[in-house]
Amino acid sequence: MLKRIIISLLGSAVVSFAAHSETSKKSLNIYTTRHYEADVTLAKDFEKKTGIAVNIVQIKEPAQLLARVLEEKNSTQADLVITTDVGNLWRAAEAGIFQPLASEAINKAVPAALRDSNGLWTGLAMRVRLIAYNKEKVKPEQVARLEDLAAPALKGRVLVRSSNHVYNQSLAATFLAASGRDALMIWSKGVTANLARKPQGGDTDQIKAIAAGEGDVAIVNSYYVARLLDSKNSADKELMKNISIVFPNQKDRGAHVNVSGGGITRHAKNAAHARQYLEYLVSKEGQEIFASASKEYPVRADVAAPAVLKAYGEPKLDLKGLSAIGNFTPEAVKVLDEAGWR
Amino acid sequence: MKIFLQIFIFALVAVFLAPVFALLNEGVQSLVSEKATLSSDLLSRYGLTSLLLLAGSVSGAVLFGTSAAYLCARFDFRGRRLIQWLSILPLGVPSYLVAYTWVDFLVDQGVPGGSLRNLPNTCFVFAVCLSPYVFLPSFSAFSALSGSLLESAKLLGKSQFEIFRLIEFPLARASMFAGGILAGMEVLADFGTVDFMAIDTWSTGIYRSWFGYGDRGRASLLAVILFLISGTLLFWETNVRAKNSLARSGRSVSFHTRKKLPFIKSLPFLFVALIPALVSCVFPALILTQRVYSKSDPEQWASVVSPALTTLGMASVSSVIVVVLGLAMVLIWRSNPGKFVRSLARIGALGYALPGGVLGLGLLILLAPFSLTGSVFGLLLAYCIRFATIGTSTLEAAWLAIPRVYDEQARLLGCTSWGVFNRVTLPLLQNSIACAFILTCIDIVKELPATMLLRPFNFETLAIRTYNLASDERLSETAPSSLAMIALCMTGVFVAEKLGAFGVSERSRSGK
Amino acid sequence: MTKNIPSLEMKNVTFGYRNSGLTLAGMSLDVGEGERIAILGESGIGKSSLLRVIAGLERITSGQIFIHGRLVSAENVHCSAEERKVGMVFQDWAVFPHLSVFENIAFGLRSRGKQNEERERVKQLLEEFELEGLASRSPDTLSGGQLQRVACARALAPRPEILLLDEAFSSLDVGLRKRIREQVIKALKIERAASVLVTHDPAEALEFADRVFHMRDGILLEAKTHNEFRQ
Repeated sequence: MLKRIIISLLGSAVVSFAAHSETSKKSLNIYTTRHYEADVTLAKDFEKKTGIAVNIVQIKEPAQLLARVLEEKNSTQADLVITTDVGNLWRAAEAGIFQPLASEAINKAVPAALRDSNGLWTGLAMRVRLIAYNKEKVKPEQVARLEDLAAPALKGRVLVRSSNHVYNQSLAATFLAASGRDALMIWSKGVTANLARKPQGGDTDQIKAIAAGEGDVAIVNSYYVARLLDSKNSADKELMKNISIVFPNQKDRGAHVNVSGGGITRHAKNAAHARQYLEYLVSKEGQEIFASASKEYPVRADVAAPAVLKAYGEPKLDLKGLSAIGNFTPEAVKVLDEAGWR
Repeated sequence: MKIFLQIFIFALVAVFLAPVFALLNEGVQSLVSEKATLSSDLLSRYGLTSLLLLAGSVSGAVLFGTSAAYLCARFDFRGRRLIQWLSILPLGVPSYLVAYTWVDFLVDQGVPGGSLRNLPNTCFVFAVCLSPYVFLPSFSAFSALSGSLLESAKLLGKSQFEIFRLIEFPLARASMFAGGILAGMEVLADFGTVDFMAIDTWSTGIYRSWFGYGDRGRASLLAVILFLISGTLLFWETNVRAKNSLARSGRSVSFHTRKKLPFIKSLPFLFVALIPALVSCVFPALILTQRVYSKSDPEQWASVVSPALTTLGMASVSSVIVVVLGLAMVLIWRSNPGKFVRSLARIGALGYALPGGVLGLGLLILLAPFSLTGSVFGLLLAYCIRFATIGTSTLEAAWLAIPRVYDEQARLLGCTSWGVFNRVTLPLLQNSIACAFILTCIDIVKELPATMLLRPFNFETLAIRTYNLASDERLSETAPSSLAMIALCMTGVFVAEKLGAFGVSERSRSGK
Repeated sequence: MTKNIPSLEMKNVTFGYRNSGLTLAGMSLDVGEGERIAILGESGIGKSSLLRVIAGLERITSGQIFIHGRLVSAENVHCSAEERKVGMVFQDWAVFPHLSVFENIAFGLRSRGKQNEERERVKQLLEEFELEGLASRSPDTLSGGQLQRVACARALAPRPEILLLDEAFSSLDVGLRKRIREQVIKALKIERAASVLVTHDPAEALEFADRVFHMRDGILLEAKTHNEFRQ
């Protein structure tokens, strides 16, 4: 009896360990929070061009990714860390996991506002938080600013996702940095009072809810809107039929953006490859793939925004707020908690 | 020999508890920090929601699981084997997948999303998905009830209902309870489903502290508290079971025969018994299949092959280890019934009570100094710690049901304690071993957060693939990996059934 | 029968479970080679404990037990059950459900390493207990009487010094009980094994045994006359 168990143990062990041991001369190891197909396309393209094998560990939650790099200390296998949201890049830099990028190519390609002031990380692509609304029930001037979502006229009509999600946490952090704690409190209480339903679902769910008439206004990400507008699926297009978008706060601080970025780790064993990859990502080719495959805004001025979004104009972006996100997030979450925004 | 066993169990418990101590250490450090953090008000609200969710989900699971088990164990009717098999199926589908699929489907049908994401619906999702945890042990318990006991009750003029209330229910209660506890621990540790269903539980508090406030220590502390609560539950369960095992100590089992049940009479039971399988498995599988077909892209399956192989390999290796460890633990309990050692071992098996992501953090802290993060070994360890309870509790329950007189008889016939184990206990546990193996396998196939945090480079499981697509709000594209996951788990269930994992005493009855 | 070395010798044995008084209070007993003893008593007074002590399933507090002249139990001596050469038939027989009739009977042989003669020995016992046609059957498919005989055959297979029978016949109906009892007596004679039967049925004790004892207050009293059976 025991013999049989041992045999089956050994048998299945062999099967599983046979699969995972691949070594290559030139390689690059990346920890990333991004799980998009665009990233796979980029990695494959880079591999083809340079012969450097790109190995990826993807950990969706930035705080967890950071925890792993931190715990692994100098034995970490990560050469490059890529994460969504500037707040996370800021925290990673604070924790001391990066080394200076030291790349002229990056400095030339990426505007200074989208790079770390100490040269530890660079932005790679952007999404804009914008306001989607029901064309038939809401006028665009009613939702020109984020602040307008707290107006009494929109009572019972506003849709948002949970503040458990980093999108809302970062948005609140920039709000806090721009207008102060009291303003954020008043605003988030106002939004909470205006809600059409309990905060829930993802960005696409908010758009679906507008289409279904559950509410009339929602904060959503440009990436999802662009994807729906560009979809080959007729149901997706149908969804957007009565919906339009505005880039908020165009006359003041600009629309809140969410920046993905990356930095080379302090203990990188393939730092040169990591630099080469970042340079590739901010090159014209790389940026075009970001714009077309994942419908993100490029960080280079000379690469066009995703075509479907261009129809809605060139947004003014709140780049000043970016640097504040990391520092202000805990306090902002506290305010959201107190306001009752789940 | 005894000394070796003791050292072994101490070492094992040390390994199992190490991540908890790592977390506790993190947590204590956070007590002195003055950072902004989750208010205790909100936290107590999260706690209350967790309790409500726990109560609703577990009672639902017990209702579904027990009805099906009772029906299948005590009566014979047309389609019994099918019901038996359908009742186990929900095991093959993770609860988050059920939630994703249904909500997405219903919203597309025009049902407002706001009316779907609420506490009762979340309880329902858990109840159907976790009902097999109750079905399996109660089915064995109902099947193993002594036939003579039931006969004599009937001779005393007790009605069917009285027999259920006075004999069958009390004797099967321990098993139902054990299953309910496992289900409850799963509910408490869940994050994916409640997050999607917009329910804020204790786990939300943990992750919000960590990800929102950037307060890892506080998150660890909350996780340790959750761990202690689950631990208490588990001890409670053990006490109930210990009391109950007296009811059938010492006597070998004589099997009862099933009563014929006319089809009409079985209908109400049948209806309740079918709900879990239909809701958690059949409809989602149909919806997903429809999606795969409507896309008619032959490429979509190619991306699933490698994650499927990875998943299969990891699940089977870890499960074998979990089962062997479970046997070792139970062997030690049986030969050394000292209370202290028993309690220790039980605490050691509590990894199940920790949300996977937090257990992952504990392991990270532990494994990093040895450069073991991102290794297959680290992942195996994580799975063993997380799922050891399934192995030990399944096997222990089965072992307790083996009358001691078999051990004594074997000794009188010249067996050493090892001989008794190898020649009597192991063969008698064969069904339960298969059962524990499959249960562990299936849970590992579904495991997400610890895998994501600790995995090696270029390592993707079906659960991760599904989750990533879902969190990118591309639910329709999750269909192939979700289906592969369901198929894998169903195959597991099927194989286990063929091995006899669920057909308790099926063979014995056919002879009469 | 010669009585050079008694098969079983108990001297002043005391034994009690942790939370109750003494079950055996200085009990003594001699069982000669091939002798059949019956012990009568009400249920719950420790007849089964007596057998468990002899079998080595329990440790005694004081006194001595010898099996075929070898000291197996004393205050500081405990020779474990598997080393005693004692066979036992439990009240509900405990026939292993995962083994066939043949495998059940051979169980004790295999573990004592007598592989060569195994087959012959099992065949012989199957014959002695009229089980020839059932060798490959699974225990679930047997009747109570058949299970009883399998249990006896299994216990006798390793040629124990003593066979202990714990209410072994009481759950069978009267006619069957008599037939099986006679079969067991016949087999015991062939095997030349001593035996101790505990029972609550005086008639059964009388028909089975050469000598009959009453168990009361933790000691044994030999019943000499017919009246004493009735107490």
